[in-house]
Amino acid sequence: MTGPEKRCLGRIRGATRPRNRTETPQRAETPFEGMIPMTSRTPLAIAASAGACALALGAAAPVMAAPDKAQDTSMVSVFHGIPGMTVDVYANGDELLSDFEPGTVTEPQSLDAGTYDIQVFEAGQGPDGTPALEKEVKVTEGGNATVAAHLSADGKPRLTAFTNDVSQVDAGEARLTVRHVAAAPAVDVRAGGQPVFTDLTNPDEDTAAVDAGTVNADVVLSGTDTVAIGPADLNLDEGTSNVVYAWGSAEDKNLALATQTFNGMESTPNAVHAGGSGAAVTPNSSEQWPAWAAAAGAVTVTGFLVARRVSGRRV
Amino acid sequence: MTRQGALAVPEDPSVAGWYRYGPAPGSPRGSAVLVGHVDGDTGELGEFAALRDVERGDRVEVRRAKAGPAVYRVVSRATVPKDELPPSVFRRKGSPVLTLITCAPPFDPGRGGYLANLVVTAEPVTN
Repeated sequence: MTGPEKRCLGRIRGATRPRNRTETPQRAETPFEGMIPMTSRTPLAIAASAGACALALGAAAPVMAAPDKAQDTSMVSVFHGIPGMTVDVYANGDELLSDFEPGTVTEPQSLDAGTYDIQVFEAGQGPDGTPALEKEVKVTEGGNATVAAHLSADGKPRLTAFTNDVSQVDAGEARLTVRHVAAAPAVDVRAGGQPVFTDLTNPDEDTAAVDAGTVNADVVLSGTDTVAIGPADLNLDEGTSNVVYAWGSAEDKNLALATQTFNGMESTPNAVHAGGSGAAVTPNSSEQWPAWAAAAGAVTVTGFLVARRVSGRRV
Repeated sequence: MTRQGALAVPEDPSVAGWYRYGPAPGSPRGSAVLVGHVDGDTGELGEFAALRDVERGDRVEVRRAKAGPAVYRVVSRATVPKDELPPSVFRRKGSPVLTLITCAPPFDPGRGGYLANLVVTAEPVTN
């Protein structure tokens, strides 16, 4: 049994261009349909990654001007869930990842929106050999996705593109997503012995908002108490989105979990109710406790005062 | 947290709570938030009722179990309608502050009691 792993290969190497930049992504056809726009990304970050792209590509491709908006690119990571095979991953003939080990997931990397011919080769066999896997994927603008190389339920290698939900979670919570990418039948996922997701089949996923904290999780054959993977402790930090891949092969007895975590999705409490009987004031008082601020270092409070003026409320 | 998305404040008005998902007092960045009731349901004043009388430059000391006290000086106090408590109070980045929050008048029993929050901000004392 293998516990959750979070091993990162580092960055997707180099930078690859979509095969056809002029093509408008067809949302109806794309495996990335329904991706959540990432509006929080700053233009500065995009410009930086575009610069890195241009450098890595050298003369092989036209140097692109810095995109004028964040939605020209998408965040893409790659998960490798085919046991026993170290691979190289190519996109449109350019090597994207080399010596990529099973059970690992890359950090999200900014890629231009467009169509990519993704090829997975046994390490050292590409790009002129026969790919072990090949799939055309469309990367839509402003999204966040993970391309998973994995086994189908009956043990055949395949590529599946998943959309990562990186929208905010409520204060005190974390998002937990489980993706069944293993050569195994339908499963239930339990936390603390209680089913969280039931009857999950390859290559589907299920997701839920859960209280932040550490949960003891295991994967059982659907409808049974027969443990297929785990138990393992999952550390679900507040304000994070956690994707757990159940991967490997039941027949080969190498089922395992791998996790991918996205940060920065926290939100704030919406109120502080810290009063009781009213003993601290005269009943029904409209008394107001005066506000004041030091001249320096009170930016936050200045914000409060402005907000109150704009709203026109006086309490 | 409560099911309604509000911060859970300790029931006992003599006890303050720390918003544990944000920075801790003494943290090098962000706003460490402490909350306490201004009064209890049975008429007693809460510890945080004292915030009504704080003045600029007042020293705030947060004792910590596994470190020395985190020392701050008060720089501001403001009241805001409860439903307009700015999210920046809970910011996790930026310059370090200690933020103390309780309830403040107006008090209207028909509308749930106190209608405002008192927010006291303090900056670290560097030695």
